Amino acid sequence: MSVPQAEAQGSTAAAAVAGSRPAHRRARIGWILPLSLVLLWEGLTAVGVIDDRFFPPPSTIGIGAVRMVAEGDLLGDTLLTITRIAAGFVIGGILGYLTGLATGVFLTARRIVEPTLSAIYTVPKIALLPVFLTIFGFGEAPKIALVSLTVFFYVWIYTMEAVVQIPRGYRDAARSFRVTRRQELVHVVMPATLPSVFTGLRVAIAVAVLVTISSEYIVGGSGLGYLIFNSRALFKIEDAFVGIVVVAFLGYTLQLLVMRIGARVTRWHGSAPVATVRVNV
Amino acid sequence: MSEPEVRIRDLRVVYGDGRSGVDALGPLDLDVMRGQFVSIVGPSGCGKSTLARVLVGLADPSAGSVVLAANERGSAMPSAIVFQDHAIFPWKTVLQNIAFGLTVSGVDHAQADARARSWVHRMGLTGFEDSYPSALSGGMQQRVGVARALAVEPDVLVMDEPFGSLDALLRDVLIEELLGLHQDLRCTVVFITHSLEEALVLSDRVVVLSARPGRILADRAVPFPRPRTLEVRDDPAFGSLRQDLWHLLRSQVDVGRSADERAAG
Repeated sequence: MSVPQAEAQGSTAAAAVAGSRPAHRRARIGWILPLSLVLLWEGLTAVGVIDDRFFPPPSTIGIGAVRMVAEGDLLGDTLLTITRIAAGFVIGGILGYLTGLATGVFLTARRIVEPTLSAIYTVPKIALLPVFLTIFGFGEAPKIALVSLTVFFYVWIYTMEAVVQIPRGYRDAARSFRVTRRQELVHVVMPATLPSVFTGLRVAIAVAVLVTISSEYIVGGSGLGYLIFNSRALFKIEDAFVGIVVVAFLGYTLQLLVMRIGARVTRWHGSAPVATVRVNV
Repeated sequence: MSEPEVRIRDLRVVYGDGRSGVDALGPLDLDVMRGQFVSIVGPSGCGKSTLARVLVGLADPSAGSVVLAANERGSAMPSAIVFQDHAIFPWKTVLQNIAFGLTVSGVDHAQADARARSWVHRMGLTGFEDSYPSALSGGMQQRVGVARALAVEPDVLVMDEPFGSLDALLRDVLIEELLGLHQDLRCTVVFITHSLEEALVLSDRVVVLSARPGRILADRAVPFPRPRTLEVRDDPAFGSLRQDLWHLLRSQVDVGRSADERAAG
């Protein structure tokens, strides 16, 4: 068989053009808004439009951050928060993925658990913290359990939906080669759902940050959530802002990390990055 | 030519069950001899795709029987199919796609790889072994689909409107390629299409199905000698055969439409 080379090369060239360069430019555009806001904020406090007792300017927050690192509590709190997020993310992510696959593949399993899980899904997870405190006592367990539960639901739902929505053609193509159920899972179901699973993971990591910070605030003692709210209670507004900025960076970095891994794992998925999703909780 | 490669007797397929069941196909009898290229032509919804699915085990007959001689012989891969869409897995490379049938049937890695590579070469996909389908044109994707089905050396190759989503020019190119492949391999092919022209250029026999539930309206031998090229279309006999079958098919399109209108009204 002969192949028209122009046809082939034309399409790869087009793919290359649609690829990395515009993406880089888009990423750079994304820095313009936050930088402008920071400069505006700095400027407005300098001329006295914004009261720097309640809204310390970025420069003061920066200096505060350096001081807090030197005093030694900022890094410790950040590390604790990261550990809680990571532990909950891994536990909830694995359980959510497995449950998602099972309920996606087996209709009976879906019918059995879906109403129950959907009911729990609508409960704001933070409202379950008192229950978890009763079950797990104080310490790390209730916080990690709460994050796990939050992550679990996002990953479960995204995975299950993705399995259900796999085009029938892919499964038929596999089945026409008389595959076993295990082969169908490995060669079709798992790879076909990866893009959606990573969209779910990205949403989940963002909400995991939120839940971790909230539970640290409620339980108290340690972590960035405690730092922010405790500083505010002590009228150390500057320290609270340092905490907020660190959380923002943390959330951004973790999402970026999940997206990068997702893009790497789903290289085949055209040149499009993992879909952008925003959630409100 | 004693035993047919495909032997279909009194085949009926009903979707759904009980009183709400819809007759999709049949009753239908058909024999396909070894090495024969048979096209099944029919109006939309006549059940020709259902027939393809039954042949590769994706659907079960509601009544009657479909016997593949290869099954009786204990063949490893009695049939394989090429689809119109979602033909190939976007998450696998060209090489992995072509090797898929071999991989899942337990052929060892080195051998599967070698056989897949020879198909890459044969289909003119050299240089694209490690590309993902999203980087390929529609025509190249369909070549991968054909290679994936042929790599397992099926006794019967089923093609379900394989060129349906390609533009006319590319379709002609792939038809010529398929003519060449069949010339070399002499494989048994059941080719589903709604294009009489495609059917007449490619086949030894053209079977025309009625509107749903599909039954055989005509079964014509295509007299043109092989090896063939697309030039067979210029043969006066080609035109008259096509005209002849077109009238049959045309009447069925009207039957289908009035049946749909009755159902809607």
